[in-house]
Amino acid sequence: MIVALFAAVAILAPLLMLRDRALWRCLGCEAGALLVFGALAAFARVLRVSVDPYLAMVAAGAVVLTIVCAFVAFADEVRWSANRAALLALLFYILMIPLMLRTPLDGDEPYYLLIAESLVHDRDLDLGNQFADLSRTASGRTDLVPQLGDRVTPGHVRSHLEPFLPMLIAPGYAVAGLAGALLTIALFGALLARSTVRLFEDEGISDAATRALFPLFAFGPPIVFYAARLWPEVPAAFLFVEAVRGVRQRRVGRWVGAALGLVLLKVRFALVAVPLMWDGFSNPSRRTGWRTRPTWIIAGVVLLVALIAGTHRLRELVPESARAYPIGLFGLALDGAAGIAFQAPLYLFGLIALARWRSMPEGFRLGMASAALYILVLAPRSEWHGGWSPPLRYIVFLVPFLALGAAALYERIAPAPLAIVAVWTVGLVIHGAAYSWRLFHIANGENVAEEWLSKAYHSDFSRLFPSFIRPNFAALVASVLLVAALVIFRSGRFLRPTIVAIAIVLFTIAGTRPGSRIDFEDAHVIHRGGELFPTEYQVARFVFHGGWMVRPGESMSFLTKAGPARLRYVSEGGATIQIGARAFVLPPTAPNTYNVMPVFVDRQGRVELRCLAGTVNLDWLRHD
Amino acid sequence: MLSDLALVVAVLLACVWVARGTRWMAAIECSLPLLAVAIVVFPDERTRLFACGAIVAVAFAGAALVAREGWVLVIAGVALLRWIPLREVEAWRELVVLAGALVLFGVRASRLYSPSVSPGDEGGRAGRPADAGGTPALHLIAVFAVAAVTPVHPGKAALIPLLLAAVMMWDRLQPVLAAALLATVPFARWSLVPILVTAAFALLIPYIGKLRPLVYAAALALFAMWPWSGIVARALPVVARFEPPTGTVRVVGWALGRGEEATLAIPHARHVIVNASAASGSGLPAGTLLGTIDAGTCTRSVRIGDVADFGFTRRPHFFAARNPLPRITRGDIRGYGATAWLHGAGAIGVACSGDFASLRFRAAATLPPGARLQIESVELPAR
Repeated sequence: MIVALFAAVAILAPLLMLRDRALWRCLGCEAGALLVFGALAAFARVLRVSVDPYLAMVAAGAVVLTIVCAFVAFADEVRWSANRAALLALLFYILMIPLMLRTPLDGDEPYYLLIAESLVHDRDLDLGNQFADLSRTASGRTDLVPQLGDRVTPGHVRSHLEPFLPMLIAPGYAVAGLAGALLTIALFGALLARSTVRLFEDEGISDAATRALFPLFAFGPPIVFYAARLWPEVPAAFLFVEAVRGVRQRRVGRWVGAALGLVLLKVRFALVAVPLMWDGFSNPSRRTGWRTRPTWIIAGVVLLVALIAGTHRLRELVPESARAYPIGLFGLALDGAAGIAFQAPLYLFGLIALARWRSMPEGFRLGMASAALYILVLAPRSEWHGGWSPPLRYIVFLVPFLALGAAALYERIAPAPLAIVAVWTVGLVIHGAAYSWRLFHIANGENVAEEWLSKAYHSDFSRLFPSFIRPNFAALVASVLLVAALVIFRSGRFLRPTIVAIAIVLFTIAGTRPGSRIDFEDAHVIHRGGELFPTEYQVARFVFHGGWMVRPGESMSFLTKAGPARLRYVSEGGATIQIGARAFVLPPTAPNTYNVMPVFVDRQGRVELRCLAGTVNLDWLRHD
Repeated sequence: MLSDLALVVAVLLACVWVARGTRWMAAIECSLPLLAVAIVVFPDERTRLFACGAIVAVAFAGAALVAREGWVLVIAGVALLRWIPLREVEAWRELVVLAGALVLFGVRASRLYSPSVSPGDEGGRAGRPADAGGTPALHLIAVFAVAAVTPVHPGKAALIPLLLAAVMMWDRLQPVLAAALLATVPFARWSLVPILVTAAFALLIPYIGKLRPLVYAAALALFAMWPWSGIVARALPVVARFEPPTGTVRVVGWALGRGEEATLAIPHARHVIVNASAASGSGLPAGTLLGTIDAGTCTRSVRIGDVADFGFTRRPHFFAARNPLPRITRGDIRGYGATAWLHGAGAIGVACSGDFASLRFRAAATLPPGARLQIESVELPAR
């Protein structure tokens, strides 16, 4: 089915967007690319090249569709309009749905579906009977249990998730089951694409810039993944764009309705809707006839809904520590697993646009200003990275405005950084589409690329990627570089791909050398027995200190430096371990209380750590 | 090898340089970090080389479409196709081939019109192929095809590109000569076929403008195989003749001289596949009897064509060899770059109406002195 869908999209997309010579050239290029892939596949078979055929198929499809996008972006004979862009997006998102469904729904998705099923079948929000008979759920997840925060009474379960998204997908579900529900979200994705193009037009972005960035926005992460999954983020992004456009165009019905929908989708979006309303009411330039009593009433309803329907409490707005702010803020921008730089690099230009606030379009400023409170509340929270979800979950709604900032800068950006971003984006899409389950990653400070490299070389590559989930030195360096880039960025012409290539080589060389800190749960550590602590699917795992639990006879080996070091561990009964040729007795600790103990590593290189007695959860080993 | 990697990087930098000033330069330059990623990420050598091949080919194709200095790409492309591995380059002979390729490109690219837009001659006869025609990219493809298959053993064969360039001076002669070369192919020994076909292709460039997309696609796919350019140049049909091994492979490793025989006991079976090759048999023409396989209830002859000399596709031996590629091969590819070669072992099915438990291999009494029938392995049915 995927191949048939792909063929349909590959033919329909050029017909929809191109005309005359560009159309035929695009179709020719697509056919040529398929021929090349066919020939390469034949060669690969003879050469016994070990590539996952599914990945190869997805990559081939992505490259062919990239050709279409390149023609849309750069050809002269293009049929370009917001509606056509939306249809193109819809085609792509429909193609993404079966790719995302390769593995069952994950995160909050099956719960949203469960609520929708309850609405359709029982006409209520009580999930008690749904949980009692999970074999009937279309998600195929029979392992579901009520989530943390759900109201559970005997025989009744009321989800803590807002019911508005299930209400939106319920008609689709009623018609076509899970596919119908996902199609509903894809439809919202298409509407988002349309609204974003219209937003660009409203804000005076040229057609050339819009066409060039549209594929990166609509078919790049995070939108492309969220548009084919059951999360409220894409509908929220659509409503947010519509709300800002409504405020800008003084169309009260549009923006109040959109803001209300936004808050109903997720109560946390009240932090966006309220500043937006504030702007709408207080900006003298917009004080016109629309500031009427019904408007105030609707706005009041938004706030009321936020206060009553939400499970959140006002005290959540009080930050826990000042340190959490930079970690969250820079993490959202730079974290290797959950940051913009690695997961959706196009929006780095949006961040740079923030630093050129005054010269940015007003729509960008309004959107970002409205989201400022939300971001400030999000940043210090321990779940700033999104938890168990595809990357950038909490800022998906904001990316149309980051894209707008990037579009406003487009004429100034040199081709080289744009090319790097485009290539990286294509790579991310291929990876996410081929291995949809890898979009979910435990928040342990590593990402998929780090794990791959660490496993391949049995060396710690994770320390070279900035991590704000488990803050490291690379994070500090990256933060300084980001601040410098925000200040000095002009066109980025010095960021040549050649420099990136040299950096990759240097990083690889550095990565194969021992680091100063070994986190025992990391992929580069060769585990012989033992288990991850907490387990991978522990709810809110990120609030725990991680580690690797070992018992007598179990061991692990890793590359390390020689000399004195400190070991962090938990062991209620105490334990004895051996590092290299030396044994160490680890004193007992209080339950769930980590202790740090000095140890000595007798040689540099691969060292084995063996548990001789007791049970111990080993967190890290750090050289001073 | 690091030196080979340096050569590949130099080729990519040449691609970037020829694309300077165009909007594609940055995209082509992205091949450098992609190459670095491919080298770092893929632990398996073949996968790594395969990825590198595809990345460099795409960058090269991009450069070929926008390049102004085509001669730079000729040097880069010939180096990529012929000079890897660098440690085995025979410098003087390769320089002759390179010079020939440059001259060939010069002759082709110096003509301005294509037949389809020929202004016609003074007599008003339009459509006459008054010149070389084609596009710079097509010329490059033709030059690379000729350069890739040009042997340097014997040394005088290195002059083939120059000879072809000289022939191209006579425009009217080109289609006739191309037709003659193609007509010769069915009768020529296998080692001459790649040369004849590519020479005919180079001569026909002015006439294949309509097939340009197909040619580009085929060229891109073949060029992506530069990490095994020796295979593409000397054993391309392996793609069609490859069949993966079936069943359990038992290595045998026997070499039987003239008239010698040996018996191999196997589990009871009705059908096995024997992988065999010849040694010192590259001069034997197709159909020459190498020996027989006697399964008791049935006998199977082994001929050149079923199998080939094990190393006849090696670069120094290929031109003189008279063997064709085996009909069915297990695709045992050795080496990389221009020196990559295909082991000449062929797969021979032995099927009898009844079970058999032994195979008796007998080398033909007519084998030349020094020639051997080599039994590489036996594939037993999976149980």
